[in-house]
Amino acid sequence: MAKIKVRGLTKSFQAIKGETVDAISGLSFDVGENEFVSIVGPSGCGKSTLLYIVAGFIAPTRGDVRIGGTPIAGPGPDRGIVFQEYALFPWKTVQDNVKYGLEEKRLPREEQERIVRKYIRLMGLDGFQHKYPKELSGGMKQRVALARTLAYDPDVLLMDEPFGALDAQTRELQQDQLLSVWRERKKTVLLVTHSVDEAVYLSERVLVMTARPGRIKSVVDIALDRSRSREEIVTSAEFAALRNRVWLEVREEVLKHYDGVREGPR
Amino acid sequence: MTVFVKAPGSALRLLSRGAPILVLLAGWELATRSGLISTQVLPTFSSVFVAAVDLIASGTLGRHLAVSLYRALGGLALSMLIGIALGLGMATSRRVENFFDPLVALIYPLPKTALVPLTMVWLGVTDRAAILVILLACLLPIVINTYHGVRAVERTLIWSARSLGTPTRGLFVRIVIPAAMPAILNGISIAIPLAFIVVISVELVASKVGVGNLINGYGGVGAYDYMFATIGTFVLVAFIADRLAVHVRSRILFWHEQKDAP
Amino acid sequence: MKLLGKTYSVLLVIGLWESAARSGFVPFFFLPPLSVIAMTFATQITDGVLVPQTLLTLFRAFGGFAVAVVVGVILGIAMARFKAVHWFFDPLIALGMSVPTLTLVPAFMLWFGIENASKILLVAVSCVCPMTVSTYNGARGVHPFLIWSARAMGTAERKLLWKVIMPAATPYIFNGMQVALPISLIVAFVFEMVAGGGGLGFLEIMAARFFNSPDLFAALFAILIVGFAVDRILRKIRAGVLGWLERDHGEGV
Repeated sequence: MAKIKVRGLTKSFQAIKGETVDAISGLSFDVGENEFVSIVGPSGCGKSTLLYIVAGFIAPTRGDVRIGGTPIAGPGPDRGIVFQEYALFPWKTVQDNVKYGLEEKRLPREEQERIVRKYIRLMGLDGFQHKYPKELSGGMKQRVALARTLAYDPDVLLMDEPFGALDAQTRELQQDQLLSVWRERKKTVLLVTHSVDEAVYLSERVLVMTARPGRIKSVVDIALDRSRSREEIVTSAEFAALRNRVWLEVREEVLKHYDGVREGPR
Repeated sequence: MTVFVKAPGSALRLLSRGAPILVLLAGWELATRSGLISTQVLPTFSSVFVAAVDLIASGTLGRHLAVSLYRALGGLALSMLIGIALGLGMATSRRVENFFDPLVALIYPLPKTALVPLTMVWLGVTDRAAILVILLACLLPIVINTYHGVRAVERTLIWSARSLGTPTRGLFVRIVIPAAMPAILNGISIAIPLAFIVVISVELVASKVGVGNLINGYGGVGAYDYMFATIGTFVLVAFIADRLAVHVRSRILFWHEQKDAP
Repeated sequence: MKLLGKTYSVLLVIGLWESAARSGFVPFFFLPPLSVIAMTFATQITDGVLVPQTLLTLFRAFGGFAVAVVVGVILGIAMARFKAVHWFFDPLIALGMSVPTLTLVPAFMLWFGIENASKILLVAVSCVCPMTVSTYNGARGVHPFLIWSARAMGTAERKLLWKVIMPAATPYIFNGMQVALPISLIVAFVFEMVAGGGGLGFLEIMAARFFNSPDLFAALFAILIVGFAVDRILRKIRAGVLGWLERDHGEGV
């Protein structure tokens, strides 16, 4: 059974002049258990809105979302989120940030410490436990955000352009780390990104969204031999073909948006 | 403006910064001693200094300063209590905001010192009257800064906390208040020097005691060295209070990343 | 209806005030009915009392403000351009910012008397520090690239001031004005309350001394209106000037 089931999801907003605008409309898709799925699409297509609805922060206008068969009602322990801006609690140390969810769960003290230690080690944050977010680089903050969410141990990992604010090199390192964590921890991942390369590199399936109002335009299965190294994968012909395919789909939507701007009233 | 930097050679830097002031003081002393400026108009710096010592030693300054500080800090404390509560309330409840917003907007352009004659009529020439004016003067900066501080808390912070299991009730104390702290403390930082300014204004106009009254008194009888001594020591106290507040604030907000703003 | 929803608290206060004042619960001198205050206000205008006094206060406040703006802007730009000027004045300005200038009211009464000139001068002294600081921040914040490229295009030094530095500093100068203008009014009011010599502050304190509450409130509302009007007008001017600057000089304001 699919872990995440989205059916007929619609979200409308009131625009400035009072007319209703659909950010997403009639959007449906599935994500299987422990699957890694990415969503790509032109700017403003509503991919972040979609993610926030699945996370439970925003209520949809129509449609429903089910996690493991149960409809969602707000945020829950089954879904963890990682934001592009990291959203670390600046008044807490790295350690206390990671520990946050565990405190909410009211686990016994030693248990909390054990789990925190584990994830600090996993995300390569040893030595930085007592630092504050303002002392960290972007890449480190990213790792703390991920550690914090993972420590809480949700089944589903929702990620909103998690590497968007990083420089190219750090971005690549973080992507590989995410992959290894995913393989080890076995989580269902739904990742929203601007980068087609990233989506193809990381995921098993890529969902392409249309321009606003967003719905799923196409689903591309990514069958890459991931036993190879990063360089091998990224320079392979299959990767290029898949990447181009997704890229063209997205480009079509991007141009649609521009055409609309040129011709239509705005 | 330039900031005091704690680094080797800071003593030298302090001297460099203090030099123009020392030049000014030296000029003062010379001009008044030489008769360039009549001591009827401006007493010599040395005589002012002597008067200051006398004021402190005799306890006169102590008594009046205590009154002024009591009023200033009392009004400040009350304004913090009411202001933060009001700011929090307005930021979290639409109804509270709709109720108080027009009232705040109405009071905003009024210079609160204009209320001094009114409090004089209401409460006489008393501590309570002074505290009331100071309370009202310090209230608005605190309310406005608290309000904006809470509203500006990033939703990603709140959402992260919710995802990590924080119930809606707990969000306020665990997330919103710490995140809004920089803004709240900013409001308080604005209110502190304001309290000092307003207490003097009140005491110049409507008081029988206090530093402002003392200044007025000395001026009236022509004891200008004592007048300037009082002004000088009060300014010093206000300055120290402000610096202390800055220090406390940076200790509390040690985690805060300063973002550049014009 | 929407307006009602937005302002009902004010109407509530007005209603409470009027009924409490008329009921006899509250002594007259404490809180005269708003209707009485309104009548007094109108009478004071028609009697030729309120308007001249308001203008007098404004004359003192704006006079000092204008002086402070001129001096402050010149000094701020000089401090930004010449290191020596900055070195000399910076500590003095920092000191000036922390001194409550109202403590000098008795001193100014001694030195310059209790007439208009004295008040204008104290207002000027009180406002010059914020004006200098904000101008300085605006002038020195001008990106070196802007200055270099202007120089490369052959702009003479003097024109540099007008074409590059002033437009960049103008928003900061207006910020300074928004801080200094209320200060000018406050200093004028307090000086009038202490020293007399006419003006709204004097009107108010005299009314208080005679427990003439309607007159007191009338003066208070006049002050409120003045404060409100001045703030609004400054905002309008600011929007106008900054808009003009943007059009005239293109980007980079």
